[in-house]
Amino acid sequence: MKDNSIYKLETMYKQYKTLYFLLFCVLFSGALMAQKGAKITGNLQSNGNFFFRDSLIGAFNTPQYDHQLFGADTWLNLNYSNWGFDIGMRFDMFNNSNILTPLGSYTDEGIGRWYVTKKIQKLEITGGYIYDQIGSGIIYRAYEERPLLIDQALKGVRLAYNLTDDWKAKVFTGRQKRQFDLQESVIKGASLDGYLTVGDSLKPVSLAPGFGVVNRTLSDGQTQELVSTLGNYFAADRIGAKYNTFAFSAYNTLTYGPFAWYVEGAYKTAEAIFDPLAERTNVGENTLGKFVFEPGNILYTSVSYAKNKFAITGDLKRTENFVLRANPFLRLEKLNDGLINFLPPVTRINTYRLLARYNAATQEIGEFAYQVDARYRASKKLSFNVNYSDVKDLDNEQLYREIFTEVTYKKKRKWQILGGVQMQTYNQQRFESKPGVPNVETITPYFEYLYKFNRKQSIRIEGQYMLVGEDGKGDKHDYGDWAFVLAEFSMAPHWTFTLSDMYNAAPGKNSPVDENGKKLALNYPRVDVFYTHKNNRFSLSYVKQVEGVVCSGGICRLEPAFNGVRLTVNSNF
Amino acid sequence: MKNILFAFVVLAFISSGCNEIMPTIPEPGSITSDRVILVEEFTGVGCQNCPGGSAELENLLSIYPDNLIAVTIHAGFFASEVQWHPDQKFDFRTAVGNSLVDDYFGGAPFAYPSATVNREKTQTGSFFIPLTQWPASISAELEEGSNVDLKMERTYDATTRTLEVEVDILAKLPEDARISVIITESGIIDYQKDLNAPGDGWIENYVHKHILRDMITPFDGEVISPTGIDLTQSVKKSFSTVLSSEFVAENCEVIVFVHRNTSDSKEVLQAIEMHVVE
Repeated sequence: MKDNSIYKLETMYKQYKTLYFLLFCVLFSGALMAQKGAKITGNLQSNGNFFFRDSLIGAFNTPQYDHQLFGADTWLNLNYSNWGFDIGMRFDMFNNSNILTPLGSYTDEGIGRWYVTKKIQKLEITGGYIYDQIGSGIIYRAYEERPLLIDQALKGVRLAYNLTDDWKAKVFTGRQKRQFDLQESVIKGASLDGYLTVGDSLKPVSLAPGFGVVNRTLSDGQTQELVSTLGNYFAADRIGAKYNTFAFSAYNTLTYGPFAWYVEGAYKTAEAIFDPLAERTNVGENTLGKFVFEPGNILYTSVSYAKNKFAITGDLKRTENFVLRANPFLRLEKLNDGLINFLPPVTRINTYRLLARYNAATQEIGEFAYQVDARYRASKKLSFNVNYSDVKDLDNEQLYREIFTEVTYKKKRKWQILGGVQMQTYNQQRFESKPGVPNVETITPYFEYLYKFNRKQSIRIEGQYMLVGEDGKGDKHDYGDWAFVLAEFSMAPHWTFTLSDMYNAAPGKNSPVDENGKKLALNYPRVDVFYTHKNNRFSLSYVKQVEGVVCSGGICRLEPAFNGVRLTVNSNF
Repeated sequence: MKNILFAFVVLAFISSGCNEIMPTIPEPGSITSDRVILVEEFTGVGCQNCPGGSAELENLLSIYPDNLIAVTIHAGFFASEVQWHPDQKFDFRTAVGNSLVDDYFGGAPFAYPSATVNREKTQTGSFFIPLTQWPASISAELEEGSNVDLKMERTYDATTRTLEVEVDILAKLPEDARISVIITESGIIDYQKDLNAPGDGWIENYVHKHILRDMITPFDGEVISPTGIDLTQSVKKSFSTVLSSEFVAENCEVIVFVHRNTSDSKEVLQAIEMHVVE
């Protein structure tokens, strides 16, 4: 055993040596700011939550509501460019934060990211924490989604080389970030991206083909854990395991005039992946969920055509066993943890409050999804938008379906009104792991009215009503019917005031009940004040929010109810 | 030339994968050990994923029938309600269960099902191990073996419902070593939420097993000897309790285990289990 004090010093040195080095770089470079070409940029994002316990809506029984009372998250980013170098670092801080695990509390702080990039003729070298992707991200995407505390940067090295003006190759290797630690497995990959035109030089067909490969090697510890788990499987379920998995992808974007077509096909070699719907043999009754040894594949394509007043887009995706994780156990433990890739969603991304209440998270094990989106601008005043999306699993079970319509009418620059209807079928059992619940059926008419008093002052009013279907016992699905109204008054360029309320107009099966078991029709109000001054933006909000699925960038998770005050600061410099 | 170089890199990628020697998957129960492992599973009637954990625990008990003891503790978020289902008959929560979670293990687990395996801490400093890691943790503990020889005798008087427990410990133990005695009950039929249950997601006739019902010792154990013990002679400890009339004695087990109790370690060194009624 090492002497404790020496061990602590060693740990401190290891922990902060990067910080010291980068601070030195920044201070040194600061002294050289007078030099031509030097540039320092940065930004700050800071959120603070005051938690007010409300057991009626389910905002309780977490450390924040019970005794911590306050939680905060902060990201402070600093970038420096000079002499062909790009250097950056980011300080991350989480104090009693609930964004890592909505029912838990997370506290830690430190250097969340640093990187150094240097271009030497045609070679670009990057070391540190790297965000990147291959193709649409189906086999590899290192990215960040702060609202869900997804930060899957690769800590490693990337070499990118311009083979010609139109062809670029890159190779990379490293380990995936996990908060202030790293996943044990090693990731390496390569890609080749190009651009070429064929045909008539005045009206050419342009192609942007690419090819990528990614390999993940489990650590000895991860493999031992997997082997121990599989070693306890009974004969009917016994499978093998591998240290390595490889994923290959070929993709291309073809553009010809108003027509664009993206297609990507990917294959992943067999490894032990966790399938939550596979039947496990037990000593007692069988259960669902076990590791299976399967290869994976994906086909994804997107076609669009836009000319004059008309635009149409069609997307299609078929996914089968495409689970690609830094640790095979993470699919079981934390659904969004350790993702090496990103499966693009093939459903409409809604923004209005009730229209966005039910979202279809992508299914790694199997789904067949498609959507069609058409827009038509009849005149300068009048335009239409229709969207249809459908998601089934590979056994043809309906997971999600949405029909969306929207009509927009603009009266010069004075006012604008839009409205439409959305209809959804949402498989709550699959997406939210809620046992025994039927598919939620919704019909939601909505409108938005924007009126400009003058060049600076405007008011925006939203209204939505979600009608929800009933189960066989006459209970409304999930929380039942909702009404939502919002009024937003803007005084450009500084102030925005928003007042909204989400009202559980006809409570459903999961709505809160009083002490007599009577379902309660609760209000979930929200008040926001935004203040913007040049590069700084502040917001102060009181939020009472019902439990629901929150999606960010196509990644979704179930968030518990929230009741409290939120303070945010965003600054760019 | 450069394209050839890149193609070579990709080919190297692919061909390296063909050379892998795959890990060997052992047969179930292939580890032999003199150690008996204590698994404390944390669950709740309202926990829809917990029946999967309980099923895994039963699998492990069938694989290691002589080396594994299970205790199921209803505590934390999914045991925060007295009644999760309006027709639920039993409240499985206990004061000692809550004390173990709040005062001994530093708070309830964030994810369910979770368990402690011999009360060993994980790399993150938590006692709670997610379901996926139970087999690996149990294997590691079994391979470590035990230097503690633990024997137990018990008598149960059905008339007075008095349980007498005699324990014989032969080991070299430090002064912090403690002994804990737990009463569990199996075969209790009541409601349980289950992710895979048909209908409304509730199983009406779920068989609850290994439920922590009581502890004869304090929740954090009883000091074996303030000066520690060595291997020269065994130490005897006696315990007595009157079983609650709510327990079915025929379905109860008495579990004795020796464990550390420092700020760094609460490791269970050895455990033993017997039926309350012979």
